[in-house]
Amino acid sequence: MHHGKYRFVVSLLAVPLLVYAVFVVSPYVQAFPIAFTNWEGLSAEYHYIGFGNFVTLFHDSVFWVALRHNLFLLVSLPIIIVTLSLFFSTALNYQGGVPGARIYKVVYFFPGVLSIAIVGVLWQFVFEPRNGLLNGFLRAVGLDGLARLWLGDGRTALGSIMAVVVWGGVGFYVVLFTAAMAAIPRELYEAALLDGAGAFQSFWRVTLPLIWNTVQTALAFLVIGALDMFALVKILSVGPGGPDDATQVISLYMYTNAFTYGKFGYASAIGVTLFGINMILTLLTFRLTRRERVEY
Amino acid sequence: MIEVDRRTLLRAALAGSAVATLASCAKPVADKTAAASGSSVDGSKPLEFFNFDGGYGKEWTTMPLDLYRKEFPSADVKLTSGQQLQQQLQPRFIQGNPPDLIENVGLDGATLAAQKQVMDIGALLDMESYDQPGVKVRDTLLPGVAEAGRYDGVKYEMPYVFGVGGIWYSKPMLDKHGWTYPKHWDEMLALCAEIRKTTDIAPWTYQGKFPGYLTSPMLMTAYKAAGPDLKKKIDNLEPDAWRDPALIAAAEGYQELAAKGYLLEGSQALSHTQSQTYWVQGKAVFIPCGGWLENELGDIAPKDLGMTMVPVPGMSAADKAPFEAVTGGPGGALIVPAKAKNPQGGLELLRIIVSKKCMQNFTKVTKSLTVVKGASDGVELSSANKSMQAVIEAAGTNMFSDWSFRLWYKKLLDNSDKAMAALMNREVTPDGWSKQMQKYADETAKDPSIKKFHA
Repeated sequence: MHHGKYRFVVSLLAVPLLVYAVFVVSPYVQAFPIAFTNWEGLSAEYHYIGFGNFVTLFHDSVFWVALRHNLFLLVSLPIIIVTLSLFFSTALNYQGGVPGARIYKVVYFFPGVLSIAIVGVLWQFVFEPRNGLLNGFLRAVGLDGLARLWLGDGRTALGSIMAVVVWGGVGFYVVLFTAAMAAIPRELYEAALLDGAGAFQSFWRVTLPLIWNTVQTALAFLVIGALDMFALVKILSVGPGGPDDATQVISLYMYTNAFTYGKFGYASAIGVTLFGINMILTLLTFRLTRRERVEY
Repeated sequence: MIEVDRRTLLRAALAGSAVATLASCAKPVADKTAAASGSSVDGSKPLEFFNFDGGYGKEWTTMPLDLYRKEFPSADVKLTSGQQLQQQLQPRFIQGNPPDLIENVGLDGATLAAQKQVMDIGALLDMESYDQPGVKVRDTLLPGVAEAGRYDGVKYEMPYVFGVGGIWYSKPMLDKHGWTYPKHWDEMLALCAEIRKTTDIAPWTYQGKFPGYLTSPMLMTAYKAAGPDLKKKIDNLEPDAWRDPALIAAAEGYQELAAKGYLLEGSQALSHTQSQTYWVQGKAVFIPCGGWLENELGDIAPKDLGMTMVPVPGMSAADKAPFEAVTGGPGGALIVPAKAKNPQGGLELLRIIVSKKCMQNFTKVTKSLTVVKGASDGVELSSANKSMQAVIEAAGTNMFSDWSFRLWYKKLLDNSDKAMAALMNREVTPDGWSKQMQKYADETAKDPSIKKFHA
């Protein structure tokens, strides 16, 4: 019977895999040879220039600024989002679920339903310095001194965009962690309670170890996400990528090189570099977060 | 999301109004029949025109396409429209299958020219005008049009609209308060101080999210102080061109707007629509913009706004160029791809498009003035259009085309936006700004992968 099962699985997967190979994998693979050319993307003509693009990239100060921002996001975003999500989902699950937990889950999850472009446009209005929701709120409660240019000021621009990512990302992980927590047998908590564990201890000693696999997956996702950030930066930031590169990220710089400066070879080199960084970091994430699997 | 690069679009759409008076020498329209076309067009070949369906829409294309069909009844004439030229046309250029004529908003003209992907259309200028027998196309065009759209002296692009860039204000507002528009920057700052003191209106606002809007007037103020040589030096990427004292002085002057609180609060983070809306609502007195501002505002502008465009103030009485000098001239780019299947057909359609008849139709349909003499005759002009026409008349020979580095070197243009944002956020000093710009220009000059052009 197993034979029939495999045929069923293969027939189900064949078409999606083929589509994936043609439209996702093949362009990805093509980027590698293009990275070694000086292709400008407007004719079929190009020359192989060896590692020229990578050498230029190494000396490109904007690339380093973008990389620094990505690395900063890479460290801070997963920590902020996972911490907040764990906090919210623990609160929702506290003693088997607080009243109204379902409604909260919907509220938390809501931003995840919106397309990232819409999120960007909505937050544009929130950050608008004169009549925007944020400054309007600050002024309404008498905190005029805290009103800022937000996206227009190099000191607050990246933080403002991060806030949007956190707002949009937390809900998904709340739902993910809540589902994982719901699978933990109640008896374990009861036992912990009998042993004299408080809420805090039962979180550290019971909940977290038992959902660690899920947290690990979440971290890997967030690491990859933090290397992207393209859409929000493109829509929200001044310039975009500004002011004065304050919100520049690798993906946007790649896009700008390809579609504004017509340097497809160089942009591909950036893409290949990003791919390399991505691979290393993903492996590293799994490696660093590896723990003994808890059986129950 | 439609993601047309806005600055590219605006640059190309340098539109708006103007020039009815320059056009007095035009001859009456004479319909010409197909027989005298005189070019080597193969009328049996299909023809494809790619139209940028943006600010000017596609309604205007109907007349020229119908005229082409009338001339070559056996040709299969096709119109393709779109807004994403990069995505739609880039693959076709690479495959060697581009359309025969393109209204180019979105593809990098400098790169196309450098790659020899566009045809030298210089011959068009010496062809007979489509609807004025015996008159060369060259002689039907407004001053400067024949020379525009060249790369290294070769004419690759045909502009079709005509406009100017300057500062806008509401005339009734200035009249009401008894303010006069200043000709020099120190007077401008004095007026700003007065506005600040006596009203709660902000003296200035600008499209902070796209800082290039303010770079234009700032460079123009410096141009007036230093004279035309400055533009040439900048465009040719000469060493220390950006270190010119006039540029530093202009940067100081414009930074004062931010430093002394003369900007509408938050301007540095406003988008073009936001800042322009505040300006229309009377929250700010001055805003820089090109001729398209009226079209772009549409219905949100009150009828009695009295939109008026004026040249950018100069630096001081010692200026080398007069206050009346403005950037302006032909804009937009029609191109014939070098590898088109029917380039002669494309060129013929181009000849039809720049006929007086079709350009008059363009003005009627899009309310924008064009590159052909007399094409605005009989079209009623708004306050904004009248003021731009006055600016053009006053400028005379002091009208100069936009800084070429902005078309030739996209990365330098992008970098100039960055530096402008830093300047207005007061993160750099005017001197630091000039050093930074020089650094960017030197990088461009040294980069062998960027094709250089010369003014």
